[in-house]
Amino acid sequence: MTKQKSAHDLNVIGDLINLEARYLNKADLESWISLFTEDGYYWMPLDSGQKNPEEHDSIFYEDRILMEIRKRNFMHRLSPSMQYPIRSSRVISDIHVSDYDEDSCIVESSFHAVILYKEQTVFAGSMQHKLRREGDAYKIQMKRVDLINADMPLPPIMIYL
Amino acid sequence: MTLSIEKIEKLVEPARVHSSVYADEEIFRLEMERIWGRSWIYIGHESQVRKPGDYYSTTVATLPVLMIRDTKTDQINVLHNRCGHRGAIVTQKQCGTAEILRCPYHGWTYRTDGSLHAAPHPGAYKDTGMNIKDAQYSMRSLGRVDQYRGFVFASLAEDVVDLSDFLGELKHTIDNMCDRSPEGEVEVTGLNCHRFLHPCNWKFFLENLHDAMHPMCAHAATSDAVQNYLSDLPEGTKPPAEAEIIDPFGGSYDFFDKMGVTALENGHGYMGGKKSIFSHFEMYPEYLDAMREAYGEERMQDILSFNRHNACCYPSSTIRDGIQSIRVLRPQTVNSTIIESWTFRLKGAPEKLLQRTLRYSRLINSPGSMVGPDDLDCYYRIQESASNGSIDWIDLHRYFGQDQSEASSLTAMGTSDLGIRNQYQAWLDYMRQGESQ
Repeated sequence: MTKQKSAHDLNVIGDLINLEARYLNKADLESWISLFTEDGYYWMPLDSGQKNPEEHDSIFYEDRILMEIRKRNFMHRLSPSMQYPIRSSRVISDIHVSDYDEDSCIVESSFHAVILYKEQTVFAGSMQHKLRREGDAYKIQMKRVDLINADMPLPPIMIYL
Repeated sequence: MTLSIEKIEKLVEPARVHSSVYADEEIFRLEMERIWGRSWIYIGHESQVRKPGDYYSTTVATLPVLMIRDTKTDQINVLHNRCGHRGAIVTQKQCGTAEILRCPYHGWTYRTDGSLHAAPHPGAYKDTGMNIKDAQYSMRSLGRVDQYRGFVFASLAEDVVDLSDFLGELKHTIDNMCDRSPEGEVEVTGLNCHRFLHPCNWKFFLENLHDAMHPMCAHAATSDAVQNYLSDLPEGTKPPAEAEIIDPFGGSYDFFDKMGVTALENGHGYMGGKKSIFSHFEMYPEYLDAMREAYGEERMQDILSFNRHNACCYPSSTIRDGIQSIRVLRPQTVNSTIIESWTFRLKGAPEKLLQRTLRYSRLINSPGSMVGPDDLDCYYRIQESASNGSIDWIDLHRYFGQDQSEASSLTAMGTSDLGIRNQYQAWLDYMRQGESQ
């Protein structure tokens, strides 16, 4: 199997990226959150050229606190918008390491996510995961999702992509 | 066939409206012509077009328009975004810079004031009876264009009251947003904004801004999720910054009643005034220092105690001075509207203020927000009923007949439908104006 020249094993990394998608496919937010470091965050910029979440608005920019709140909000019995089934299926490809040092690496990939919410909608784009080694495994310190249509009119995005 | 004025008047009663106003395509067409075509529509902020030739495309009453900074005069023009020759849309870009605008079909070019710069092969028009210099072959300006403290509005019609008179009391809302900057100015945080697709009639969105009976119900899930999270924290933990934003959405009827609602002329209005869902926001000492230095203690207190929520500039926009955001309605069809959300930086204010503005925008206005989709789903449900004919009349009776009259406004308990009834008064006034002059 392919190995990066770095000390980072692409098989291990690929398994994590796929596991993360699997948790979201199952809407298992609890397990999904556990993949992040304590200071980890999820970011979906409004602008593909955006350097950081502080300079401009973002579609999502959520730390562990907001992930915990969103987990409690998801499919809440009092939420009108959550009375519909929310199902999703993600396909990830071209997983590769674009940068690394000893303890962390940046993993890029592209994805298609089909979300069923009232109607079936396709979201697509690129992802960037910043992974940090914690003990024997990796944790996600940052996940950035750039939608190809981030600057276009969007329907509600009911679950993390 | 155009609906007669008599028929239109029958659709709006003092405390209820007929559901067809949300679902009838002919009514939508008339709204675009008579309301959106004859009032001042919010276009954008001057900081979106800083340099000469900078432009931004949007729509007025579904028509494509271009806000562009004039390369000669530096003033901001708003032009019909279509070629004077065969009518092709000149630019499909959201924003950009151009000294000369060029139609890609036959190469007609225009200056930034919309006048024709050149038409290729002009000899072919010789002796044809056509004068290409005639204004009808230009990229015509909208009927009126003006701005108030950097906020640009335009009207398709020429014979409208001045912008200042149209805004009236709402100017204080814009003033307050700007004055919250130690430099008295705001700027957009980026050239892009949230564009949230709303598969519903534009009026649902506007009405909801003056509907203080819905947060504790429609947003109960989000409030509960926050409370649930907070209750899981170890005792004495400082609540996260998000809590101050989401907490008020679970406010009581009493809380919102006390906030009050004010109805102004031309369908405008606002919630709050001295007290709003922003009044409990943390005041950062470094911000207070900067404001005190700029304005002095008394004036600073004046500025910061002014607290309107969702000041509605009928029909096109809604302003939150306290959190520096504007949401803009861009109706597409009778049951489709794009809601733009713009955020603004207070020039000269500490970075923390911008971070709160952005946090608010993500939590409440983004298509990824937990709050916005719950609102939208409620509009969608009424849209369905209005479209399928399962309801005839939509009710607006809350605190009906109990408005308090002020100098040029009406006020009521916050959960009153006054704001919505006032919007329909303006709706009738515009719609009664009949055929285009």
